[in-house]
Amino acid sequence: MDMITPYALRIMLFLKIVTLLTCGSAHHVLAATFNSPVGAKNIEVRGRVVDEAGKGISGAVIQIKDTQRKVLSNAEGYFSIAVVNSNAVLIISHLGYHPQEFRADKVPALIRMVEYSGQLNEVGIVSTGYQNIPRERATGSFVLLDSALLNRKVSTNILDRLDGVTSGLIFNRNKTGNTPDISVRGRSTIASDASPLIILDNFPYDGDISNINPQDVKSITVLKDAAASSIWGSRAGNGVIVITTYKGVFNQKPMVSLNSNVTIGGRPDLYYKPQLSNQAFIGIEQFLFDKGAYNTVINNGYGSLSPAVEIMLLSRKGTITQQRKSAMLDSIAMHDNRDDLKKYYYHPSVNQQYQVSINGGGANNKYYVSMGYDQNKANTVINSNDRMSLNASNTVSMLKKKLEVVTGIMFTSSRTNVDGSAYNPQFPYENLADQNGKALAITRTLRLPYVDTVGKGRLLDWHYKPLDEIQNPFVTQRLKVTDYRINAGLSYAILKSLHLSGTYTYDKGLNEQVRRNGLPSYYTRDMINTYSQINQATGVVTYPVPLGDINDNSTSVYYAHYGRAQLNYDKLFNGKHAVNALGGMEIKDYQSNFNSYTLYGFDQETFANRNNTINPTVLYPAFYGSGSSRIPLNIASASTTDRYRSYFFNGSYTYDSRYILSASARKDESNLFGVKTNQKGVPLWSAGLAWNLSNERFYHFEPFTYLKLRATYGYSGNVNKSVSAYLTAQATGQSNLWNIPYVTITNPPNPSLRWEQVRNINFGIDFQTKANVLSGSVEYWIKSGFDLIGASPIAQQTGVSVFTGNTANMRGRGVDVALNSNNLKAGSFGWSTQFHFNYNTDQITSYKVKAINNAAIVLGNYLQPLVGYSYYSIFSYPWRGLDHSGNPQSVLNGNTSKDYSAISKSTNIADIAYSGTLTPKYFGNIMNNMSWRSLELSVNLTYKLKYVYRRPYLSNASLYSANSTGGQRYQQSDFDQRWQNPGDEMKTDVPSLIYPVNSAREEVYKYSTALIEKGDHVRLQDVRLSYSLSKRKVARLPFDHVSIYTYASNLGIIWKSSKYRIDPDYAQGIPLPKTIAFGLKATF
Amino acid sequence: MYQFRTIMKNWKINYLLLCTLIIFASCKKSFLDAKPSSGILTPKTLNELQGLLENADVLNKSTPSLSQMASDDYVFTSYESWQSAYTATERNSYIWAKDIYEGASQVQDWSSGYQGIFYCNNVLAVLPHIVQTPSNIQQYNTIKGWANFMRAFLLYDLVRNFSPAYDPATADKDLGIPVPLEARVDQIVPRSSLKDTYTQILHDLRSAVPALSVALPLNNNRPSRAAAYALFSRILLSMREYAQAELYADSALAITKTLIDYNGVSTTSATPFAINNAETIFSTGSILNQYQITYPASVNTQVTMNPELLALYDKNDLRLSAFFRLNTATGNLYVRRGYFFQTTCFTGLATDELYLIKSECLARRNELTASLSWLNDLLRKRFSPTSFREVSGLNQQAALQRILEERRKELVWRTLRWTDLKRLNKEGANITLTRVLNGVTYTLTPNDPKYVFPIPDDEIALSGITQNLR
Repeated sequence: MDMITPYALRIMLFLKIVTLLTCGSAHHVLAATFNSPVGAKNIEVRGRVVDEAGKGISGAVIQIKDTQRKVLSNAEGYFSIAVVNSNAVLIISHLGYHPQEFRADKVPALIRMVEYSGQLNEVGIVSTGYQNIPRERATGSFVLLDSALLNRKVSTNILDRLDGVTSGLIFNRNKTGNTPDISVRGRSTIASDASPLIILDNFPYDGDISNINPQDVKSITVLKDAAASSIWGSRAGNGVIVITTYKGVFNQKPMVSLNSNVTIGGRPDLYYKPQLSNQAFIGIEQFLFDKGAYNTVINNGYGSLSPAVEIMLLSRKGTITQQRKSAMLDSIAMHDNRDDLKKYYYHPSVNQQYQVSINGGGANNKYYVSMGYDQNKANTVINSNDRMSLNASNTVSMLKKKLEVVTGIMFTSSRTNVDGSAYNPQFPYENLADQNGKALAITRTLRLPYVDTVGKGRLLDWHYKPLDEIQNPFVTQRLKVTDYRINAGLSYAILKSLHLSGTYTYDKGLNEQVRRNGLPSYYTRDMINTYSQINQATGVVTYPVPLGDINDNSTSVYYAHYGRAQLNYDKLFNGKHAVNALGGMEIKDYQSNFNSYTLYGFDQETFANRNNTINPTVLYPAFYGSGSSRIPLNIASASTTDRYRSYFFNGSYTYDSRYILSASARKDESNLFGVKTNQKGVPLWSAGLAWNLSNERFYHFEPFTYLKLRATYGYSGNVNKSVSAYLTAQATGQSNLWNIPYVTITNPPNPSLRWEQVRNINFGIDFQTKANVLSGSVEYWIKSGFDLIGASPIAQQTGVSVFTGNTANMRGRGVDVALNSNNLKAGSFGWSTQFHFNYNTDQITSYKVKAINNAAIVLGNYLQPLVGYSYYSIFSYPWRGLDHSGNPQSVLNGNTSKDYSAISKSTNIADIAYSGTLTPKYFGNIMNNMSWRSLELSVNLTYKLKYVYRRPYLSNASLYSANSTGGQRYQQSDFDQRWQNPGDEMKTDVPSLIYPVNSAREEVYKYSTALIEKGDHVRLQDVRLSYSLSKRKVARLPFDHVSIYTYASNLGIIWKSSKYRIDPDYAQGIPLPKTIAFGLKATF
Repeated sequence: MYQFRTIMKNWKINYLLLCTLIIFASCKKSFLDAKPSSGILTPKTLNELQGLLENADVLNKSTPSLSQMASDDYVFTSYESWQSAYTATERNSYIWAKDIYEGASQVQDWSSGYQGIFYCNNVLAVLPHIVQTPSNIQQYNTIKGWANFMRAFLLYDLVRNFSPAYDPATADKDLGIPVPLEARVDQIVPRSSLKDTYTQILHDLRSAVPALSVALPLNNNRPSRAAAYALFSRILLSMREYAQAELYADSALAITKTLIDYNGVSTTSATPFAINNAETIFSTGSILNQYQITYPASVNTQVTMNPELLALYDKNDLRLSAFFRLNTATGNLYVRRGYFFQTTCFTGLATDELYLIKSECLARRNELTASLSWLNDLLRKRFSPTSFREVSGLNQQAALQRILEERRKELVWRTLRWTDLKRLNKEGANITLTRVLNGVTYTLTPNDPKYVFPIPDDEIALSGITQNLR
């Protein structure tokens, strides 16, 4: 209850605001109407086409059925058409609205068009964030995802809903280098941010995307080419994702919608990663022990030793017999740590989602109000998160609809609990609990026998018991995010065709993170003990770190103002020449502040701390070892400012609904550092052309009722603020050993720095067959990046090891195919298919810095791209099998070689092999939707083809890193396949283990073609089954419409090219567990 | 006209919108001049330039560790210990292998020094743009002297590792190191001759001397005139310019000749010497984090002090307990913290080194009484008053040998032994180093090319400069 009360208060406040915003709907007299004369031949039908708000729709097509005769409505929606026969039927259509048919003599004076409610497979209105364009009038490349498609999936994060259903957009799971989570149409930058720009309603969204409640989203438009995205200028080079939220509907009674669902997910598959058997791992430890690899740690007396090594040590000292030793080792090998993880650490995840919304409107206003609550319990025992979101928008039109005022508020509050103890097993047999389930102490950084006796009882208990930490909230880590977005917009019709609008949005986000390390936690006890000093003579203990909890606090706040003034001009001349233009300017002022501090000796009751007892300048010797350090107060504060001033223009001219010309220009100026004012901006532009072939009088090709050709050309850009033309240094706030603050050079001078530019060329065909059986588009694109900023190694004699500057050009090409097919409609059965096919490649066309040697190319091509190859290329050492001693062999100057050092240092490019790219060349999905009466089934298959990955390998270095305390080095592939005896080289490619480790030998194997696997696969992405009922059919129903659904995702791979039991999207990690959701949606 | 009237009727709204537009349009130029991040700056003021020089992480922890790891100060306790060394570079340095790095990249022994030189070059490039005034002239000079001194120090640390010992007969043909003097990263400099490298180092030092203050600084990461003289003395000694080395030692000792009395040094504290201790004139250390051997800490129990070296210490020598500590578990002696306040070798300048230079130079010109007097002044602070025995009655050769032995014991674990070996073998000392591992004996004969470390492979590949032949 405690938790809910503040929310209840917030909701009440929120509803109050909403009431204030929702002005009473003032009725205005609608414009004069014209009636059509009845009967006679050659009559003239006149009328007016209006939208739900009563506003005239210009450019609506009024066509006489079964003829080519048609007219367009004028700017106010009026039309007149001569009809030969009063029995003729008029079809009134406009993209974005349901078409209507009337008998010529029954045409009402006011034809009210109803907007598409957003059904699948229907073209609609795309939004660029500056304007809404009917598809038909667009020259650029847009992907529209409507609410039906977005709501098909169940997820907490809106962007997840784009996965596997969006043409030209891919989620990168196989990440390396500077790879973003999402890419639109391949890659066009090297070292700069490669993520697409995200627009929420009118402006870029700088908050955490997970703050947006997906249920509030009406549609998403992905802008892919220059004509579509160049209106966003220098930040649009990676594509733009425009999110549009619900705004209500004019002239609609209040509609309440309820949505609730629960998603249950399994535990992660702990057996996915291969690992050594406990016996095998103990065998490795015994081998290393015999080699003296643990001696350093054994001798220092305090360093961590595994339970097995402790037993070996007892045996070496003669404390236990050989027989006893074997028995003890066998006993610890009996325990599998994964059983502990399953029992104590992981559980099924449960995500719950609730949302209620009201929307509707009168003649002069429309509103949308929603409230959502999400509660997610992750699959580990402590991690959870909840989110409360409130969203309200109100639109009022005044002064005979000349003035439209839009106001909106979006509020999100979320809390995340993170597992602060972060348990990571170090040994496969690590045992968390005794037979009675009581927590056991394990070794972490310190040796158990050392911990048992250290300080002779004078220090705090230094044992680490992970189970205690998991089961008790000794360490809590809470993240609280509060996010507001308030917007207001005015649009005023100065003339009928000229609108002036001003839009303003204020964003504020507060991110508070508190990590409380309670005194009972290992973290705090370890911290206090490490700094403790015992006076050997008196036995008195001093604690430089005060006794008590340790609170780590950090807060970051951002706020952003966005403002825009814009003029829109829309006019249809002589029924044939449509001009649409907009221009204006906008500013962005974004600031963020970060503060952090640590409080020692913190008392949860009184909130008092004892930081004033700490001397932060003293170097205290550690209690063990010979290190010394200051007590970190972690006091830091920093701020960033991101400012833009932009001027934009976008115009299109349409002739007779047949030819469309578009052009846009934008200039962005930003607060780049250390740059003269005249270099702070970059001008970018685009132009486009489209031809609605099917509107031509000569067009009589029956199978395709709609055919449109389009082409665009233009420039967008990328921003990289991490580099500067002048020597740049940073005051870190840290002090040197002499307690004097110092500064660090972060950027060497680079007078020739320029803005990155991306040139986009796009060709497209849109089509639709008779009765809309098949519709879709095919696009071919070329994306070229110029003056791209790369970070390349340079000779260290220069004083820096990496040079960041305009070093590269690259070019990408691709094809996007999107098809919608209504396969079957027979009675109550319907079947439709959505198919996406994407082909994309990228190629570095020039790169100024040459690669050091083959090792540099093989280890990470994204750091040193090679001209002629993709940024994501993988190069490998050619595999020449194992020799008679199990040593890996590759190629040096064309000959089989084992000179590993020379192989890696070779600059002979012929000695390495191109293995493919890390990102798929082909990808897409096939989604089948079947409906029978009220039942709907939707199954989505995704595919990714023609790419490769390196599979996990047996790491000699990791397995033999005796003193490594972190990581799970027992998780190794191919241990049993390794070369052990002469002759094994005929059967295996896994090299023998050698001691000491030769890292060059390991690298030649690790980066060889032997470990390259094809990633090609087809995945059953998700399945959704829903059952809907509406009042029209079932009169007794208390709702207008109700649907129940179930949705299953992460269902797994149904075909893959590789024979290994590895999910190519999760070659290094563990795949996401399967989830299943059940939900209900009702409207009334 | 109708339209015009409509516009006029709604003039209030129009006015409002117009105002909005004006507000937008009137954003000042300064709107775009805001700094994108609070912490960044383009160093333009003296304080900002000093901030760069105060970056001790870059400037005062740059001495290459290679010469320490290849030296005969220590031995690995066993073949197994050697096998389990932290890095291949440590293993290879120990046996003077032909290939030391085994493909390791970003070798700090090379890059750290050049990073520091880049800082100095930037400071020296900005300085001429600052107007000198009576109120800033002192700070201006300090910074100029500091940057020149620091560049000389870093260049010398590099050249004594990556080039052969200075020999006037061959110095114009021997390869020195690249000497970048400009604050730009787009220029590759070839290796200059050894002679030119030393000329530049000495030129930098000569520029530094008048700019630096005579008074000793508050913090010893900052150079003073005494530091410049001391560095002169160290470099000239390695060039076997003994007369000049002595002159500069005199100049430095005229400013400070304080020694720490080891009778007062704690034998239990983990940090026996204070950060601004009386002996240290200028404080630097070897590179941090790359290797374990140079950590004078118990993290590395694979090595112990060279028994031959230990045998040279008198059992009453206070340096035994001040410098080393016994690991009771292994019987190994490991190095305690020296004059540098972190866990790497002290490589800076201190008065004890000046006493030894002075003593050696006097002995070389057969001023034996004066020579041994300086040596005894030093040793008096290294023994208890009861156990101290004056060194006396030695002939020139015996005196020189004793002074060099004391030099080895006093300056242990300071990366200087390697430079001394190069110099002394040039003098004909004929010192051959040997290591035995798993029954295999490795030897390093006098003036062996392996005394010069290879330049890291990535530098060679990216700049195309000439590699050292080993």
